[in-house]
Amino acid sequence: MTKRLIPRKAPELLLNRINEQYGYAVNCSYPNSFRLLNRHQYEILQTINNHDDLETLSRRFGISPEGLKKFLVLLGKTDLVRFDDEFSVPQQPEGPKSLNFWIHTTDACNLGCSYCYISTLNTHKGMSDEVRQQFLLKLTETVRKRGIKHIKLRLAGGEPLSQFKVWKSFIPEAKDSLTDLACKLDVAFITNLTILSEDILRFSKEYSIGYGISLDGVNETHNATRTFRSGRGSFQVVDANLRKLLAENISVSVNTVISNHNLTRLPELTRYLIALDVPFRYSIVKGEAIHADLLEQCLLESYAIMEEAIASGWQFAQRYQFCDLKPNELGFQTCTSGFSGGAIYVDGSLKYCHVHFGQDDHPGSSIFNPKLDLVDMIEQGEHLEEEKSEDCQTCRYRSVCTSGCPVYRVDGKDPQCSLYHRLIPMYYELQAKERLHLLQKHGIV
Amino acid sequence: MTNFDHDLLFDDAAVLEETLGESSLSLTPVTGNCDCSNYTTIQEDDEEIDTSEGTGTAA
Repeated sequence: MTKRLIPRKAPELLLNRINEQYGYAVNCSYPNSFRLLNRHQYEILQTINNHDDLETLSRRFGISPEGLKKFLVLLGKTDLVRFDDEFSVPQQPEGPKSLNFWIHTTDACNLGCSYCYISTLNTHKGMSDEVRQQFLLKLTETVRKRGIKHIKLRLAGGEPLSQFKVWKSFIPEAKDSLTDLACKLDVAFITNLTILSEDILRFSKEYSIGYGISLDGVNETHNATRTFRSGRGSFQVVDANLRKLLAENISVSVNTVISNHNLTRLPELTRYLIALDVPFRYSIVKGEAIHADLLEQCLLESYAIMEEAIASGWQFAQRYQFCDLKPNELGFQTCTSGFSGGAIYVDGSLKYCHVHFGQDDHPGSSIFNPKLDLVDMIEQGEHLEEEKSEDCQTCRYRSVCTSGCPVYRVDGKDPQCSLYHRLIPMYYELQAKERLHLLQKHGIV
Repeated sequence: MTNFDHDLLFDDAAVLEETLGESSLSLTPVTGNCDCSNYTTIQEDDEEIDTSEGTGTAA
């Protein structure tokens, strides 16, 4: 007798319609499982109740059991459906194979932003050559010992491009040393983008340097907070430099922190960023109150603009990120801190996160400690990433949200949890509309 | 094969990858250059997540 095959839906399956003809399915615990479904596929998947077997379902829909089985095997490729209960969730690997460090290159900054959270701002100068060389020594030691294959450095500050000259020497040296150990090095500047020379552009192209740019809004919205010390706004300079980077095909992404100051101008910024066709992330200010209803309304207005842009071919899923959510790639924790990364201050101390610089109640290691490699230091340091609420352990979106930034959780949750529950399905709906547009554009449907 | 059977085998990802190229739909983090980027998965780690596993007994 043939064994009864009972299809089961993934516990974290999200299944919704986008119009009369199409819907989408995504297993929020399986990377890149997103799938656009036609009406028949959607109806069958919706009918699966984890009790009825293949024969019963095929009779109900008047289709052959073989045809239905083929469809379910297709869905099974990304764990949308299984014939057993062995659904997987992203797990932390035993040890990291890639490392990711925030490097505080300097405390000096040429802007005087009203809300800057760097408590040590303008108290020290740039990182010394002695610290950089010790860091390289620790990197190579760790790569050799742990078999690390990839290292990413995010050069931040203060304003890291004010330190370009010394990093221009360091980066090729580090790249050569790590290449000899079969380890790839990627570097990005986290910058206000007010300093950009031909030399920086040339070097960035040659060494594939990436850029993360802070932008608060368009024109006066940006200028209200991000000013030179003279009081002059920086938007015009940033806009011109951003266009130069894009013209040179240098990897760029824009980071906007939404606060009460700029939220009503979010739709205007969305249009600007879509027109530039630059990847961008909207995140919500942490550690201070924000007008929740207005925030949601402005985000919805921005999503409506994105929907219009999708219809014109804008690549939504490759261009937009909301907070630290990972709707497709998923994850086991929010950032690399505590597992495969940390933040290194100008004096060579290593902290869990860069927001802890200058705070004595957050102990760290020193890269000058001869007994520990960088992974030892991370392991022996703080581990805020593990503090998650009970709700989060069973939440459908736990691999998408991973409980948000570990430093700013409230009772083990991201303060924006309820907003995420409303907006994550909306993200997938826009992704489905983008996929449908692509299929229509190529005459496939 | 009926229209219904044909409809059932609609595979959006496969047809788009055929048209646009292999891995054209794979999404990497949009803001890899941002301040709080996620852990970069290296091939060997995939064994832990088991992304290649098919559907239980139906495979």
